[in-house]
Amino acid sequence: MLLEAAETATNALQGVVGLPQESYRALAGIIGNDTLSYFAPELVICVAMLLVLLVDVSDKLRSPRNLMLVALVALAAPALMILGKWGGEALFFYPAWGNLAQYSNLEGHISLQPDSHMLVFDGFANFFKVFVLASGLITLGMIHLDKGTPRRSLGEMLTLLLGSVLGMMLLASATNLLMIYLSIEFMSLASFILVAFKRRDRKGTEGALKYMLFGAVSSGVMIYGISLLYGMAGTLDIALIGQRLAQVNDPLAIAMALMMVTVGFGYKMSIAPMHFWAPDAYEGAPTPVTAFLSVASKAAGFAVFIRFIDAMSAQSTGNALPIINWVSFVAVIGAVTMTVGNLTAIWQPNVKRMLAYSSIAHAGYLMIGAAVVAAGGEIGGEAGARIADVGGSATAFYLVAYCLMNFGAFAVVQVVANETGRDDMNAFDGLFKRNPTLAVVMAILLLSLLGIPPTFGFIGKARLFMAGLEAAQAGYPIMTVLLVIAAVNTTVSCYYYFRLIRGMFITPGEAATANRPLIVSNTGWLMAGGSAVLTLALFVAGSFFIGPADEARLKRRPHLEGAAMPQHDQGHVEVKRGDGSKG
Amino acid sequence: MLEPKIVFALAAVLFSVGLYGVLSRGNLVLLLMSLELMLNAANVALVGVARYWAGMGGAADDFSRAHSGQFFTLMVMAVAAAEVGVGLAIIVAVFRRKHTSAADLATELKH
Repeated sequence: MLLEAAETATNALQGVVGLPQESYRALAGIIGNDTLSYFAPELVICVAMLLVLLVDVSDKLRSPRNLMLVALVALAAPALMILGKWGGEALFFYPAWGNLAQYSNLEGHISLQPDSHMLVFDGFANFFKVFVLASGLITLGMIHLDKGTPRRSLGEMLTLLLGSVLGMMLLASATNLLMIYLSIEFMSLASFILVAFKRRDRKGTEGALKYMLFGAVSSGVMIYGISLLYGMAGTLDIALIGQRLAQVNDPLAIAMALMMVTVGFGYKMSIAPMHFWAPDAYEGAPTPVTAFLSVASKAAGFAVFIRFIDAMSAQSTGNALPIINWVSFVAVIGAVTMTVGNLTAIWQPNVKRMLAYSSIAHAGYLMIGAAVVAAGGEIGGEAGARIADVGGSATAFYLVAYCLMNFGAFAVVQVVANETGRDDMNAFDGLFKRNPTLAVVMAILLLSLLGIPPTFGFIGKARLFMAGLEAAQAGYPIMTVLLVIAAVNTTVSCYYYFRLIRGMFITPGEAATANRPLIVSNTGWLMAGGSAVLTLALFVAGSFFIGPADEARLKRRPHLEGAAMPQHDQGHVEVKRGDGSKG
Repeated sequence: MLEPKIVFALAAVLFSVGLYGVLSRGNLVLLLMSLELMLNAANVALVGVARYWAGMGGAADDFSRAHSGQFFTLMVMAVAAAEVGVGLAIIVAVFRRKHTSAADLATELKH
């Protein structure tokens, strides 16, 4: 009945507009094959953003509780929808001009442009989407915990948070440089405002200013790199670019373009030369925003970076790129990032700032996974794809551990700041006397960040190192060097994590408050204590997340029809040019 | 006949001027203007190259090859406008606290 009505309507429309039959067939195919349901999670968030704004202007409905409820549903429902598609078939999506939605999946080619896609819905994208949504949910808890956030502007904050999450979800499944650029800007613009949220606060506005300026410059550099790539390959689809670059004989230009694009991703991941914004923005932002940026934003950056290097190194193998060798390039960046992060963290007097540098160091550890992906891509074929997947899943697995322990640590910082109004190291002195359980919770989370055995952080790091070893055995000695540097760095990081632990357990606190118990709200226990308990429990049951992390596989398109470089046909050009000038 | 080399040379010059401005300008508003120059350099390259690719022989992805550059430029322009909007709002917030728009005076957060 419904289908008949749809068909009649389609036929009538066709009569009016007179578009080619194929587009309607494609449209009907989409409705029939339920393609839109792949994009439904994003649509839910779009609607929820508007809904939060509407609730915020309604006199009757406007209350923090209602706003939080809408945001909660808006984040939980898409996560469940994606989990419903978990392990299903991957899908490529190309909403093209002329057709409302052309698309193809690998089995049945329906699309008119089988080689060029905007979005892909594969296991990798699914994993990172659920991850980002889960971080958003935890951030809601952090906002609830934060006494500093003005309740009056909660609606705006939640709208921006949802917008940022939407940008990250799109980024996780973007396979086209235009889509990548737009989603990076989407999440950036929302997070600039989130960082500046305490607009009467000097630190907040200054942190946001630096964040914004760095972001704008790095995205400027990135689109210049994109324009070079487009100039060389004539397409914006990253898989096609990878295959066509192998036919371009200009290593210097390729290296420059790829490095410039990496600047844009590196800014999001806060890796070494592009990390300067991170400590300032993290210190100035409200703590929930800091925690959200340090986890979700970084994860989204790694998702797109891994997809990008996989596409770039899988097809244009080492010989085409003598200057930029991805494995060494990523390994060197990783080594520099973790060293800079750890060495600078030592001197920080502010805990949020210290955790910011520690998060930079963690970005360095995560680069081990990215380097393994690059190695797998260069090896190529079945064996290479397997190694690349090992690297990708190790990164995904470590991000889960990192999410738990980092959110937990920031929750403790938030609890202490609620009570004392400060977030410097001295505020933690004598915490053990004031609230022993909270001190133990923080100690567990810090040990997990350090990666010491009875914690989830250890398993995460172990898997990352095992992935690195696999790449080293596959003939990449530089991976061994990177692992040694990472091990040394872990030792260095002992210093600043243990400095905080010593402050909490040994140093006596300020005389005025030393014996006053520090009261923690239920939300505080749920956030901080919950993540500490999970950190310990998942050391035993860590295998629970191994399965989902292994599902985080990239869907590759090894042999593309349009991979051959378009040849310059002189006569044809003349004709085309003539037509162009007339029109 | 528009040579891609000329396009890229012009874009490179524009980009360098913009980058120099970003690195050397002390005033935040001028800094934003230099930033626009960097974005426009990429725009010039994208549009120019799209023209070059449009002259190539027709393949299955002819449309996307020839027009995605121009479309990208439109997107960059829209996003740049949004970015400047947010940027100016933040600069105004900083200005209200400090009564200056000199970049060097944003020194609250250091170490």
